[in-house]
Parts: sequence; structure tokens; C-alpha cells
Amino acid sequence: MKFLLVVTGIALLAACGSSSKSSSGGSATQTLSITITKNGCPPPATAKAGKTKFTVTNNGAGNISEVELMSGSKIVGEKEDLAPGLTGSFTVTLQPGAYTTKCPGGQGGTLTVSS
Amino acid sequence: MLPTFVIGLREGLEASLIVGIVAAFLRRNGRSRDIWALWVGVGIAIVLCALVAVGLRLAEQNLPQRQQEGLETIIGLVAVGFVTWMILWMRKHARDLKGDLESHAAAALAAGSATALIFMAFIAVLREGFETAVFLLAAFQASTDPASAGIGATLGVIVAVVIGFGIYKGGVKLNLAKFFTVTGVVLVVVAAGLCATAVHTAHEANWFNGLQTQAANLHWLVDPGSIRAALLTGMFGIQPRPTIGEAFAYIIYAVPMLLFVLIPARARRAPTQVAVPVA
Repeated sequence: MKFLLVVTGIALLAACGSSSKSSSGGSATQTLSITITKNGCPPPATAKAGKTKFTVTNNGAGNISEVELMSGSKIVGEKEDLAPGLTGSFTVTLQPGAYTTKCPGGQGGTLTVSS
Repeated sequence: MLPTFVIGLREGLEASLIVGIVAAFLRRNGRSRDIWALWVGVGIAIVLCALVAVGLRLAEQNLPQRQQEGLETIIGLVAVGFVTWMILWMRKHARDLKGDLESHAAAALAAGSATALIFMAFIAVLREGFETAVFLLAAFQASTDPASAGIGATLGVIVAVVIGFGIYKGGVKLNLAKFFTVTGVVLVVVAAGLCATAVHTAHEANWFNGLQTQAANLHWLVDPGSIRAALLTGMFGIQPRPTIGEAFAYIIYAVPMLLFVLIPARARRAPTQVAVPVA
């Protein structure tokens, strides 16, 4: 039992220490918006690469409360607990390539990023 | 009001369930006097989360999402450890607990174990508390009908607390040893859910990106945005679209533990007794 406590303490310290690379220093070069509707969470179709702030707004979708921006199976940005009427944001450095949005309860979309 | 109620209920349950189980376990196994320390610990955790949420709001900063998911993963795994320990402890002391006595010298928990359990309840509140506090503040500032959104969110958390308290009271009243099988199965299901959830949050923390293919579509059972989904996801870790990794974690934990709980003690190999020759 005491062993569990020690392990927890170390692990928590390690987690706090790991830095968040997506939102360190400097301001975003562009702001894009994702609107959640009953149908889903389509992102803008195209964007330029660079540090991007995504503003996510839930416009009346009671069954969707979470949006994830994915590069393949990796989550590069997400916002949870977005009930209708709530807005949140996250910042990601976009690289050229394809990204997808995923929102449990709705349909996502594809974002193609060019340099 | 319903969407924020559902979110408050789910987030609240993920904390209140663990706290209720820990409180019932302490009370039932001879540590009634530690219950007040448990509530103090839980209260401190709540205040801490409220302060962090207000601080973030004032500084106009977001909760660092990736770190939050990492924290949830670690605490979730620790919770699996504690619940597993509880199941093993109950099995070991089943003989001593068969009576209706609330405490028995041989069955009483050691003070160190009680402290560890109180710590578990504390971090269980922290695990969801930061996110829930931030969400509560945001709900009251929704762009459409903030009063309704805020009240809904608050009610959701209150109902979650009531359910957790009900688990505490129910766990104290039931003769857990007599119903060890039932209690054990329920605890295994809760812990298996925590395993699956830990895999889920590990992916959201960017610690684990494999086995992400969808294993099943459980929308019919866990309809996103519904009260039933809040109960099933909050208490039993069932996701609407679980991945292969989450399903594996669930099964790998649940199967051996269920066998352990369901197979009667005497059917398992008895510990060997070493005979000491008397000179």
C-alpha cells in the first residue's frame, strides 16, 4: 500500500514536469473556428501551416461535447466539456498534411494544410 | 439544461464513486473515526480545484489539456491498484468479517492503510475536479441561457455527489463479506472500467497512440449526451466507441479478477503449512 503512494507521488511529479509543446511561447499566426452543430464538427477545408489557434463553439448540439483534432491516430489538440453555448480554444502548430476532426456523437471532417 | 447536467453528472460520478467506495470500505473495516479525515481531505481537494479554476479564469488561461489527461491516467491507474487491493483484502479477511460486528481486532485496517485510502479519495477528487470546476465556471458564462446551463451543471454534480453518498451508505449497511461475490464483481467491473478509461486518457495525453482502431460501436448503449451515458461512462468507464486498446485493457483486467472473485476460496490451492519439528 505504501509502495503505491510512493509510485503515485513520483508519477504525478513526472506528469507535471512534462511540458506542453503545443502552446509554449509566441502568439498564434492565425485563428480558425470549428462550429459544432447537430451534424458534427467540420473544420475549415484548408489552412496554412503555422501556429494556429482553434476556437471551438457548440452551436446547439446537445449530443456532442468534445472535439479532437487528429493527425492520423495522434491527438494534436482537443477541447472537452463543450455544452451548447460554450466556447473553448486550443493552439496547435500545424504542419503541411492532412488533419481530421473527431467528435463523439457527430461527424468530423478533413483539414488540408499547405505550407 | 440537460447537456450541462449530463456533463456535470458524468464528471462528478468519476470522483464520487471512488470516494463512496473508499468511505464505505473504511467505515466497514474498523476505521469509522477516519471518516471525518476523509471528508476533510475531500473538502480540501474541492477547494483546491475551485481556486485553480478561478485562477485560470482570471488569468484567461486554458487548463493544460494534455497534462490534465496525463494526471487522469496516472490517478486512474492508482485507483485500479487501490480497488484491486480492496478486493484482495476483503477476500483475505472474509472469515473475520462474517459476523455483524462493525469492527473486529483481526479484521481492522491498519492506520497506514487508512491514510493511504484517504489519500486515494483526495486524488480521486483532483482527477476530475480541475476539469469539473473549470466547466462549472464556463457553464455560468454560456453564450445562450447561462443561468440554465450553470444550474444544470451544478445539479449534475450534486446528483453525482448524492449517488456517491448513497454508495457509501449502502456499502456500510450491506454485509460485504456475506455478499463478497456480489461486492467483488461490482468492484472488478468498476476497476476494469478504470483500466479502459486510463487507456483512453493515455491516448488523449499523447502517451499511447496504438490500438486505436474502433473495437465496437456502443452508441445504442452509451448514447452521447444522455443521462444513461453519463451513468455508464462515469461509473463503469464504458465509451460510446471503445478502441481495441481500451477493450483489451478491460478484458485483461476483468477476466482473471472475475475468476478470482467467483471461484470459492477452498477450491483454490491452500497455502502450504510448514511443519516445525519439535525436538
